[in-house]
Amino acid sequence: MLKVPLLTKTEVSLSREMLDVVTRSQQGDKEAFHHLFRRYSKPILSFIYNLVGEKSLAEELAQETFVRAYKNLNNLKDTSKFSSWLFGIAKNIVKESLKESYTNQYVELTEIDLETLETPDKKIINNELNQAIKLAVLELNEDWRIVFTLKMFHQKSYEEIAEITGWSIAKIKTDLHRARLELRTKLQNYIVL
Amino acid sequence: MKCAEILLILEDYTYGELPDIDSIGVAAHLRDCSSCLEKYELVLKENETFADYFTDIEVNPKLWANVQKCISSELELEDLKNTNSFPQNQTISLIKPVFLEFSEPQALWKRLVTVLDTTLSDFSSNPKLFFQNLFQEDRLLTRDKKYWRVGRNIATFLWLFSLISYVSVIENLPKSFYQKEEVEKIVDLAPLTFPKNLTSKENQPSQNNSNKNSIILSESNTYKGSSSSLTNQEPKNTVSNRYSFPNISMPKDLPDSNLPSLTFGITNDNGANNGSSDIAGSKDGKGKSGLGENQSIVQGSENGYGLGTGQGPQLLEGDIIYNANDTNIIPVRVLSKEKPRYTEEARQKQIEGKVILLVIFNKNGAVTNIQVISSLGYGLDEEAIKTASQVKFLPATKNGLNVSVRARLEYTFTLF
Repeated sequence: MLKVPLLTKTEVSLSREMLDVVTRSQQGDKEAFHHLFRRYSKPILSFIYNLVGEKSLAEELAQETFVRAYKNLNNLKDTSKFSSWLFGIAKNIVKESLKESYTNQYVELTEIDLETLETPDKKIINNELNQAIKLAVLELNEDWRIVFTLKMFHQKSYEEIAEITGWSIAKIKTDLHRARLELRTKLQNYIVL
Repeated sequence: MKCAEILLILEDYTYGELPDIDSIGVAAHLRDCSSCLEKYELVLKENETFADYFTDIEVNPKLWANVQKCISSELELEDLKNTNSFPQNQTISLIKPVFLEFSEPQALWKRLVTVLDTTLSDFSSNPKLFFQNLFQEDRLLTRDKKYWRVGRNIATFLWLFSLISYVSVIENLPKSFYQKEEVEKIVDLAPLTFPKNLTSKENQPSQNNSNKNSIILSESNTYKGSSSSLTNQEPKNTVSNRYSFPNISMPKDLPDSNLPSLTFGITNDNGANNGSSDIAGSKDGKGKSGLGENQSIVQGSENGYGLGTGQGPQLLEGDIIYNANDTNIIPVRVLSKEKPRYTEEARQKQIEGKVILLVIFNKNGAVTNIQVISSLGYGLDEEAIKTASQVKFLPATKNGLNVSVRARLEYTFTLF
């Protein structure tokens, strides 16, 4: 049984610190914004990479996400929801880019697969499964992919996903369930009880 | 809880998204139901597999540098927009006084300036893109809102266009086009009304309103034949009548001997006092009535002209009346005149002939001081007077000033 993630005392104090950083960067403090970048660049980059499956494109889109976030920082009213807001921006940018070059993403996928073979030793064992999951996720419906990525890879709660995507929790639940069913059929050879 | 219910919320249970009460229920059910437990373990295994999934991507150290570059270039662009040195500012400075004249709030002006600035800078930087964006579909707007926006833009454009064109036309028009004085001159040419007291009995003159030099126009049957009012003696009191002649100083070059005796006669068809005729005699006796059988009043001045000392609306004291034949003046130009109607009585009696009137074409644009020189009777004189009073004309002028002119009007009555 999975443990329900709870906010520890350190995380709460950290989030308070982050609130201060967000407000400072809203006032135009570039150093504060750099701090935010260091904190959120990896989750954002991996989230985008999960959705697009291409490293260079993911970096490009992550860069655009942070630039757009800096420009629109003053539009953020509730600073405590900075994380959701930033993920929302990333989601929008990914959607826009997928619309523009929807057909190209699978062509380049094979090239990336070859590049990403060099991984730490402990992960080589699971590399095949990893690739299978990656391909299966990328073949999912766009909405399902977003929900599934946020829930399973980034451990976001339903409420957070609703904040990021703007969708209802009912839709999120059904999308997640359908994504699971589809992945189950695709990955039945890898997941053995 | 039943198995079907458990399966619905099993995934939520594994995510830890269920409320505490439901979680306890599910946990209790899983202890008893083996089939549900199997499914639960499958989901759990899946979750673990996905949780072990790693994204083999690291943040490139150049990423922050790129972000910084982009941010600084964006800031520069905004600064450029704020300190725009494009020559459209000249255009704005031209529009400003006109705009502020019609709209006082400065905030509105500032907003207009910013909108114009951005629009013009967009247009100047890339006209093709500007038009593309202008007509591009905005996904965020509904169709109604889009049409409303287009309509609003068109209305604003038309408003500005009409405003500018209106101001430019007003500025360039000659002043004489809309000056008040010019309009008043045209108003003076309105149709003239027939004097009421020639037909009505309301404005009866007082019996004592005669004067040595005054002639009072009145209906014959309103006058009872009292000679005291028509004597040449000095009056005790002078009552001004609306249609009594004003005091007019005549030009000296008018020869007295050539001037006819001016008379005014109106026939009375009632025949109540047949044969009797009261003549307000002038000293030389020239004022005679040509209407023998009908009761009539003939009033004459000392010189035989219809000139008196009474006050009238048309002529002011000291006005000079010129002859129509005077070569020094630009003559009266008649704009419109009507034909007099035949009266029923005259038609029955087959009366034909001329009614000759002596009138003054007033410098103010009115026909006044109408006197009958040659009468026909049977209501034809009144018709002629009525028609004459309705003549519209441009007054005669001398040295650029309007002057009053005396002239003869002839109305010929013929039966067909």
